[in-house]
Amino acid sequence: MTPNESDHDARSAAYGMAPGSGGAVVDEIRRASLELDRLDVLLVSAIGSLQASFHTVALGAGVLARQAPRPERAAGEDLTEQARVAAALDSGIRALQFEDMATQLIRRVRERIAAVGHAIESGDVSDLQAREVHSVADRGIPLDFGTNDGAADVELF
Amino acid sequence: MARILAVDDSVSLRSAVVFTLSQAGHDVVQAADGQEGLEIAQGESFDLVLTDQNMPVMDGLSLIRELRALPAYARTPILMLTTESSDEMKQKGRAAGATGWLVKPFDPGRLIDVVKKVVR
Repeated sequence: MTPNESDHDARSAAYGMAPGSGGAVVDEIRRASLELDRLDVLLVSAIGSLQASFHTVALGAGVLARQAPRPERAAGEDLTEQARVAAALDSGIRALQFEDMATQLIRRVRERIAAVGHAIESGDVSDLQAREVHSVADRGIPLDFGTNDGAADVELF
Repeated sequence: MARILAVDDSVSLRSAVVFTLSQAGHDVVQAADGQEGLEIAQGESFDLVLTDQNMPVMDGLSLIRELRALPAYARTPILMLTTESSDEMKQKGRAAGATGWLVKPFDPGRLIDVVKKVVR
């Protein structure tokens, strides 16, 4: 028996499970939790850089998008360029919102991991079944930030 | 031009809102949660409040109820901007006094249109 197996068996015994069963599951849950922590740190770092770059580029592009058509260019050409810049800015603003969505998804996964850990400890899965009702799949979080599809469902009361 | 209070715990989301509405000519003040938003709102006046729902310290629905209890914000438009999209949550928002509900991620053009519609 390796030290790891012995450790797992000790945990399994602590949770009232057969040797080699629950302890390994609990360890995997802890590892998954640690990897979520790392993902969180990565996201914060990435979004910081992304925001700084976006603002530098967007401020310049925003000014360009608002500029009046230059007389030496054909009207259609300027409009196309302005529309292209405006569309790129809109797309960037939608994409910038990924951090908020990703953070919420991570939070939900943490809740699920905690619930699984609790269920293993208590031997009661009723709480897990109740949580399933609130699946993130029903919450409309998009998989594609590059288009208008699903963006900004608006309802005025 | 309107004075707008944007309340959201996500820095990137606030950044996206501020950029969008500033480019449209509005003056935007930010708050990181409902409590901070309430404190700012008590000290200044705004034409519109835009708030997230799920935030630490004080959530969006609680912020709306607190604001509606203040005479200065009894008729101020308050929009929810949130990932919550269930009818149940929308009904809670309506009951709390929200003017409207926008589901994230927002499209910049549509956000500007909605703001134009509710701010007179």
